[in-house]
Amino acid sequence: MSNLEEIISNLTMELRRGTLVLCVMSQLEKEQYGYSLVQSLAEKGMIIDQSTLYPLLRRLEKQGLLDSNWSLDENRPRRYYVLNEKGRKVLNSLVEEWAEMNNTIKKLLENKNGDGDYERLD
Amino acid sequence: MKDWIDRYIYAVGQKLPRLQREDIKKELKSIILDALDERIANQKLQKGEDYEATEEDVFAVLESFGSPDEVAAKYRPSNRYLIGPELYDLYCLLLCIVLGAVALGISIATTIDILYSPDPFIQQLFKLPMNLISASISTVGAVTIIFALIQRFGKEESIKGIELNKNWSPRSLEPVPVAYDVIKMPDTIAAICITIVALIIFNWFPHIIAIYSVSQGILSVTPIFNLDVLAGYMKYMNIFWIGAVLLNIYKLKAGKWNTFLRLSEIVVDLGVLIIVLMMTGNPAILNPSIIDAAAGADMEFLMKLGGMGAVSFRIFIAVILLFTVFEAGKHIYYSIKSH
Repeated sequence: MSNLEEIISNLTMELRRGTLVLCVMSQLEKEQYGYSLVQSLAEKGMIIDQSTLYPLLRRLEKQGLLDSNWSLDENRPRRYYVLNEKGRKVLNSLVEEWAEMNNTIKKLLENKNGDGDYERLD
Repeated sequence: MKDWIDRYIYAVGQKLPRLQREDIKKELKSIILDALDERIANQKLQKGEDYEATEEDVFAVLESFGSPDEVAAKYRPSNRYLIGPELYDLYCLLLCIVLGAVALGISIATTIDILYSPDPFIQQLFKLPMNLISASISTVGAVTIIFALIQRFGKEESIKGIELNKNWSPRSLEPVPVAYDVIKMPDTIAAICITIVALIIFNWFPHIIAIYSVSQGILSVTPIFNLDVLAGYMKYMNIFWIGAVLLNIYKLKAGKWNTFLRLSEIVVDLGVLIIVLMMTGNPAILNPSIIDAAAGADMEFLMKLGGMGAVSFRIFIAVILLFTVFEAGKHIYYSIKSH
């Protein structure tokens, strides 16, 4: 990988990392087990490393934002995660924050004539 | 098909925190089996309903999860330090200082030991590297353990140097220290080195503090101190010397004198002075055979030497006394002045 590509890939990863919690929490208003969550994120275009997702779920649970329980009804035991009261509040705040940030960044990236398109700086 | 999945989960489990291990393993297994089901379902769509799962499918799924080390690492909290970045610079600095001082002390002591030992030189030759290696290993160990304990039990805020006071305002900024309040790094480092060298020699090699004399081609080594009596005083001396080392380490971190540091410095200095005075006031501290050794040699010369020794010894004690009192006075003066 060339130096430029490496820098871009690292920065992109950092950019994505910050949004992961928001993405994951947004899909947990209904309860989901690990693999179904990967699928539902992937369907919407958010590809997330499995080895990143599951530890993240545990951390969110530890912070008291998610509840989890083992379901034994199916052919194999599965751990289901769902947002709890506190988690929903946090998600709402994050969504607001994201909307605001998105607006700001959009404005910052607009080109001079204000048509909202991004100008490539070559 | 071999038990690849169980092997994988076991390998991850080995690296997980013990408390959560079983739970994570159970969850991981269920997730991997889900992923495998999904893959097989896809293969059936592509290759027909009678597709049989192969080892390759299992491998592909496991590879998509990543190596066991990588997976386990993500389950561990990220800030697991033996010695964190906030302490690391100080740790490196101190390790160099202490290691240097220990190496110096051990080298001096062992070399003198070897040179004046009655055993054949060759037999003794390995002593220096062996002593150096074992002393260095225990030094690195001790410094590391101390820092690891500070990291583990120290308050996060005080390690990071963050003020607990959240109502910070520029008004609370401390004045730039005046020259006499700045702690000089080279002095402090030298003090640590000298104290450690003294600790090593007086505790482990007190016999090398000796009169080395050659009479009629025979070398005689007569330790100056009665080692048992000296050891009695060393118990107390060690407290102050170790105190001095710790104090100097703290001074390196603080960078600036304050009342607590000045008072501690006075306590340590006075403590050392009192023990030195007690030692010099007790004739039993001298090795009784020093007198015998003197009797065996040229009396007149030794008497003269002894006389000179006694005078210079008194001057030496007076200098130490004056110096300590001067230092104590200086610290009291400055600590009053800075208030």
